[in-house]
Amino acid sequence: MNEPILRIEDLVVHYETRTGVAEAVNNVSLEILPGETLGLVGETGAGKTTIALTIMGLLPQPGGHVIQGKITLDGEEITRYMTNNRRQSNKNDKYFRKIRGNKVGMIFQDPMSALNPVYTVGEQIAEVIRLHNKVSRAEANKKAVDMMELVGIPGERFKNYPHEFSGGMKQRIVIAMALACSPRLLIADEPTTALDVTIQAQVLELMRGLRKEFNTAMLMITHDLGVVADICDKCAVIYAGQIVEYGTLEHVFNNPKHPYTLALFAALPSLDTEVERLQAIEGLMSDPMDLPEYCSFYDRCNHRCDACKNCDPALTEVEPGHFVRCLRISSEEEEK
Amino acid sequence: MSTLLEIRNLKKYYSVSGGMLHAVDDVTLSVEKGETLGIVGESGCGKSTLGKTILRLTPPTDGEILYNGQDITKLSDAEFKKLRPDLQMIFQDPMSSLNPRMSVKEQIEEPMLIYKTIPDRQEREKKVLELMDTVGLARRYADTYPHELDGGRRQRIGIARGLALEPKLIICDEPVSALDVLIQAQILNLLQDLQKEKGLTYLFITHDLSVVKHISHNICVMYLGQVVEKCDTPTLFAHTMHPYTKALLSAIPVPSLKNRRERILLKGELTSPVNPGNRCRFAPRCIYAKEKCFNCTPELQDMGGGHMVACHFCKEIGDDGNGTTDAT
Repeated sequence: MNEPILRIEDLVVHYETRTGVAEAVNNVSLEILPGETLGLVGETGAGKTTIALTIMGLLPQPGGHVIQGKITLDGEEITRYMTNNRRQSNKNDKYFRKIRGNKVGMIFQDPMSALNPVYTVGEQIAEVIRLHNKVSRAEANKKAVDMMELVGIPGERFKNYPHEFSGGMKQRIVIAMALACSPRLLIADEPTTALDVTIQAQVLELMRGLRKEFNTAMLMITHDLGVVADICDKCAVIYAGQIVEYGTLEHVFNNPKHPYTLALFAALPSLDTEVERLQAIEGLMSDPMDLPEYCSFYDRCNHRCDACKNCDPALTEVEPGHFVRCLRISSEEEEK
Repeated sequence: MSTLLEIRNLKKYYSVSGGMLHAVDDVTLSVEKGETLGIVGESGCGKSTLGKTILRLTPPTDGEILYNGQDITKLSDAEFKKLRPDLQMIFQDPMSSLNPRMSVKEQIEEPMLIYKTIPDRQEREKKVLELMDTVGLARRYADTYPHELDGGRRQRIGIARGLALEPKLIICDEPVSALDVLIQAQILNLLQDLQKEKGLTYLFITHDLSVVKHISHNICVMYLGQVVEKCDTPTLFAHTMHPYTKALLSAIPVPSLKNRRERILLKGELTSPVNPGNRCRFAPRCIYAKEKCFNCTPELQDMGGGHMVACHFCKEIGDDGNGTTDAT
């Protein structure tokens, strides 16, 4: 049996702010197997990025706290390095510095702010390599050139600065940097959102190829269901800090069950079908500062009933590997 | 139906070090009254510059902009000011187009104060509240400030401001690209309802082909300052002719496991719009490019039924175009 690279169990993350506590992530559990890509889809503020930052040990401080839950990365429990104990904090930082860029690589949304404008791109890639491997400067530089070639940037541009590259090229450099130490897990936070469609297609194609070559597991964070259909194996739909639907692509795209997932698909203008009017659901996502006791999608749901107001539904397995968090669906299951 | 806006050979060049940057190069198009014309293209193709030039936010280098048959490029500032209420704009990022120190009420009231359309204060306030109802903003938000609201509501303020002077033509510059899907659907529906109700004409600028397909009657595809394909929406998607439109269409990730398109991957990125020279601007990235493409700029030619395409070889390439293959 394949041991998962990343396993998150019952993760709860809160942000303490002056005006109250924001419940950003609530009981999220997920698993990524080696070589597998999981898509995490949701709206702005759903908690997608918070999950990524938690895995990297980058929760904004002060304020961000892991309240409960366990994250296991490549067989090692990393949540024990996330305590808020002051005496431990040096040790914690040291641990995360060791795994970042080495075991876990990260690709950010905006490549311009992810690169240092005063160093050449080659130096920045070589820096990651030298930090995590005992190699000479020359060797690291050579590896950096190889990485650049691998992502489709000519090695002669080693000495160019970030501003001399276009957006798509910069994102390629960030990808080269993230993969330089052959990480087991790659976290991509909206990697193509800032790019044009034709460039996005190129970058997705590149990521697909590299994933195969390195057998890297990937957590793909995006708001674009099209990108998920394009590159992922599994998909988790997240709403107000909770996973509301989770399964393989076939489960989520061919047989979506949760009212929120259905609403997402209905709201997308499609290239293949003609619709006079989009089905928009009114209202906004519940405020994470003030989450209801009951189902957080209740106020916007087309299928709500009185019973929904009395309980917070649990994630129920509707078919092997396909989980849905909705009272209506779990009661249907029970009746069967 | 009558033509509300007609643009003839519009050019906007910027002088930069190294030559002239051709932001908008010889664009000709027309918009019928009560219709939506979609302008699609990637960043840097000149679509926003086109919008700004039409509203005289930046003076054109050459060409004519006829609004109701009147060339607005030749008007004096004072004469144009009289026309301005007819021509309004909705911007992409509502946060940077709204004044952070003005309440919602003041923002919506501002255009009416500037143009003195409703001198009476109480009348004006009534109009503000009516506008808020029209765009679906609850009246209780009248005294809040933009930072207190979410992106969707901010965009509704932008739309209410655009409507305040009862315009005829609204240029929508990426009005939904900063919004989440569910909010995007709300705003698109609102724009369509307003069009039906008030007979508005839209020039809808976006990079998103699926949005433009949903909302437009006619579409112009732009590449590096030039229109490469222009026709009504159903034709564009049923018989895609230009290699760039084909590539653009195939590059969109489809949120479905069925009907996967065969992907045409373009080589490289946008070439420089500075001194583009006499050649097809898409040639360096085109998979069909031949020698002629590098020596001569293709003209827009009618391929039948008003389907205009600027490509030397589009007849040979054919319109098997949308490349939908059933993968299931």
